[in-house]
Amino acid sequence: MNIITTTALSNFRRNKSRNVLIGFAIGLTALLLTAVPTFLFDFMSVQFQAVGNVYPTFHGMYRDVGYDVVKEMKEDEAFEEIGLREDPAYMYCEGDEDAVIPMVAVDDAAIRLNKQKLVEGRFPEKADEIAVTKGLLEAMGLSGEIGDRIDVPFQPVTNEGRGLLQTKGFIITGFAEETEQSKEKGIYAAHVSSDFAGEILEAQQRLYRVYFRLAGAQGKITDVLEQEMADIGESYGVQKSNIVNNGEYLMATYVDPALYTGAVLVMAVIMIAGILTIYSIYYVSMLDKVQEYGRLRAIGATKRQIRKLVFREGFAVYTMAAPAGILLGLGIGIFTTYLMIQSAPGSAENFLVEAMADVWSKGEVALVKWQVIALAVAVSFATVYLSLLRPMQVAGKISAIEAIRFHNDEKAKKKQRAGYDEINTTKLTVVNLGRNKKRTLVTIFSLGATGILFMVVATVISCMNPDVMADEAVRGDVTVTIDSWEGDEMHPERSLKNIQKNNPMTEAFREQIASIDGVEKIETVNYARAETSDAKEEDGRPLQVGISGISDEGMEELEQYVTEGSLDDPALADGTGIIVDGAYGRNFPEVGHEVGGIIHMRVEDGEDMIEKEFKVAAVVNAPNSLVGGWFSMGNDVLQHMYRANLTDSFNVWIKEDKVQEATEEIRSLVDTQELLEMSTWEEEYDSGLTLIGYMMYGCYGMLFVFGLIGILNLVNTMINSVHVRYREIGMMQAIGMSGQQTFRMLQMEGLFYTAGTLIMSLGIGSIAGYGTFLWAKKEQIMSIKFYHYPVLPAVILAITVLLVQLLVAYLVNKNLKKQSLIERIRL
Amino acid sequence: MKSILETVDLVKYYGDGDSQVRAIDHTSIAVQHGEFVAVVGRSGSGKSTLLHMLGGLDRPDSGKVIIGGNDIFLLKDEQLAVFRRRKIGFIFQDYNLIPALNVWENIVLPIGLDGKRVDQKFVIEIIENIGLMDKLKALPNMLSGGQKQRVAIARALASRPAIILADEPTGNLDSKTEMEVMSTLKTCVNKYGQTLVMITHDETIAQMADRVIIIEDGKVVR
Repeated sequence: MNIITTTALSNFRRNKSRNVLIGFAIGLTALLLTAVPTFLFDFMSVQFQAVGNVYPTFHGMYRDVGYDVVKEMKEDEAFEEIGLREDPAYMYCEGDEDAVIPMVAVDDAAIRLNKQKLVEGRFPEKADEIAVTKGLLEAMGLSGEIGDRIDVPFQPVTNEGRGLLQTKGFIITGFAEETEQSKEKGIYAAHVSSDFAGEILEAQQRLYRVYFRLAGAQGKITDVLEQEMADIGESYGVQKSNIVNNGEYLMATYVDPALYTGAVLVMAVIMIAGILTIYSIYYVSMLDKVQEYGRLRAIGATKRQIRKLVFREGFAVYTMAAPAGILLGLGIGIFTTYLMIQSAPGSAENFLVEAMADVWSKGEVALVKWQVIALAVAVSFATVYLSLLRPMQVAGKISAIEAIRFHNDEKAKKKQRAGYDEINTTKLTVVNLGRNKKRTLVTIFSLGATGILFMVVATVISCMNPDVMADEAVRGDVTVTIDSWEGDEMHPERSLKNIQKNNPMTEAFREQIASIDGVEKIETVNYARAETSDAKEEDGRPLQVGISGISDEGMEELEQYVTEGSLDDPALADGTGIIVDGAYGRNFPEVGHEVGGIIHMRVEDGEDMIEKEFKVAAVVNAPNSLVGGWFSMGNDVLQHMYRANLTDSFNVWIKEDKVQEATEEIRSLVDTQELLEMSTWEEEYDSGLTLIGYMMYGCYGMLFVFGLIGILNLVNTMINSVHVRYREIGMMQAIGMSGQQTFRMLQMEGLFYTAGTLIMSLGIGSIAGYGTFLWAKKEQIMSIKFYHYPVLPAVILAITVLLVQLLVAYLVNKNLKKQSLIERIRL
Repeated sequence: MKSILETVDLVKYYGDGDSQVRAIDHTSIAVQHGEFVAVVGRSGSGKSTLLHMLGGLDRPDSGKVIIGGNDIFLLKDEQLAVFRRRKIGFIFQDYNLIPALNVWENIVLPIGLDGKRVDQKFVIEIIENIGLMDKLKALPNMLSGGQKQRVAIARALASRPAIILADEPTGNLDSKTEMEVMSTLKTCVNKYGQTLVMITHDETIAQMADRVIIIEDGKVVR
């Protein structure tokens, strides 16, 4: 070990109290720098693994790809994996010629990519093997078990269409699962082998569906993947209409680029906070090291050596503190991930949450990632290095002469001060605080900023109310509604217009629910899809909207939310008027939405789109569960304009003591209907509560650490302001300042910081909190509607700040007493 | 004549065993009211320690320091601090002014700490005596060494203490300034009837004193 390192290490031991402080700062910084990305990446990798376990994992599919092209694709490195499916023939169902029963041949990769499973048996391998469903056999008028032989009439698919009827004997090798919906609608499929396809079709006639995963897709965002799929498909001559994205999977694995930006931003904030703290500790304590470095310069140390000395001492602290911080950060990150997975709110993605819990319990994902650790090591090292740069420079510049002359005197910026006629401890405090205004302000500002942030977050959290959130989502106790979605090429049957053709929300179904014990009231809500050319979607299409129906009772309730116009407007009765929710105007401020204005719409009625113009009769600011969306009108008026059955949901009120049983009964009814879903007030309340809990723990946890850094800063400022004045305080004591007066003076200095911090936090913080509330209310964030001052957090904040300050003053004073008066004067 | 300041068998040792230093070794001295006593001795002879004991800055291992008939080490730390600011004025070699306070504030600080009102007339008179009336609002870093020491003298005098203890007050000054400061100090002490105990190793300065006490290895040799 060379002399620089030895000196650095001995300095490291000698400046113990300062290095402990810096160690804390470095450790905390490293902890945060590890915990944040650990949580982020662990949560994402668990989610991706779960998605992979649950969803079909292909990225997309090309339809109608010829035999030769498939061969080329298999060689193409752009694909990570390719699975093939062909529909070489259709079964012929005597008596029901319209029935569409494809005979599907899939290879192993396609089975894997589609997560296909048989209920029993195996997939067919030979030309005369087949896997079917029980319903299919029934529909075909056949019967048999595994190993039995059935004679199947079929038509091969040729380039000209379906070929001549043939019959072939197959041995059943397995049974596939069957959905209620397929049975109901008569949609079946049988599995055959590709040998069978080869038997009945020439190679040139065989057309494939190619399921594929793109290579190097990890971390890419959905838009990029979709573009790549389109480009590759085009290069193989696949028509645009024959390119299908696996939207569900892509959506579930979609990484919002904003997430990365956010993570980088959070880490940057942590880094800056770390640099400021560590740097300020060095900066302040550098003052009393001037002489030491000067002496070293006097005996011949070079600037470079002094810089090295400072750096190595800092690095020694880093090697002690960072590993502890990183380890703790890993633990906290992983534990937070665990908490999030375990207590995720129940929702439509429930099965994904379960799958995630499953992935966690089976330990399918590595939670400790070396990349994250490497990142934390690198970034925390960079933090320490950057904080040391300036002190290194300053120390290097100290000259021998400066050190010998140095007397802790203030730099000669000011020549004189007006001063007081008489001096007492209070005035001394004021003078002391004024000596280094910059430092005083920086300390108050950094503490105050944390306090303001705390109050803003506390206000938002205290304004969040699970009751309001549940009311916003569900009217009554249970809502049963049609589960539709649009634009899914793989599931066109799920679009609203197709469901409405045979609307499951029938009067009979309503009666069924009404007959359940405890059900008091059912409200029907109609809904129609529409688009308006007044506003545009992001891609330039007309804005996709809907018009919700409101019951008569709902209309009465709506009165209280009217902000403009009137619900008694005759236009609402004859179907030419419409009610607009304020959120529409907030989202599209450039579009006219004031009372009397005209909304241009094309409304969907079955297969037709009808042009309509509505006059805005009233503007409201109402819960979503009441107005359904941006546009609404009377239930009956809405239905009168349409041929299709618009019944969309039932809001169910249940007697208080029967809620649980009745809900379960409704659930069992809804479960038999594939096209319906339900949500309950209770569930929404719980998930609201969980969500608030998440936000609370997450935000307060973060603030706690920032607060800790702030406190560290306060401790450092106070200790150093005393340390630099050790001799001076000794002097004052020598000429008669008592211990009590000293303590009072230090305490008053601390109280000044406390007062500054509290004025900033409670004053500016409360105002900023109220501003944030107004903003959240306007933007309808977290269903915030009512202001609720965070009394408890404010009191806790005040007490904490006060206690911390008293403690710091006490410790500083105790530290002061450790040295005798004589030692201090001689210093 | 009654002693205003007296030590009785004062002992202060530092360390133990071979490395024991006998800073003050059974020392008994007495100083009369209004007397100017110079304490002379080589570096490390224990003279500074003796001065610290006299001023109650440090406590002895044994023995007494009696000021105005009271054993000051019977007082608690807090009482001692009060005693110090009322009865004793200190002047140190390196001035020890408070850098953030201006000349006036430095001078009235001990009065303020005692919670007393400043006798403006008296303090101004002192400042006139030391010749710094034009520097009242100046901060210490604007003053020369001699000026700083004169401020320190004024500070020591301002609260009208009975005893002034000076630890090589001219040690950092050139010989011309040294003589100026010394005469200022002596004039003031005479004028206000105060007792002055001063450490020095400057023979010329010692000559100005009424009496010289020589210390070697913690013992009074003359």
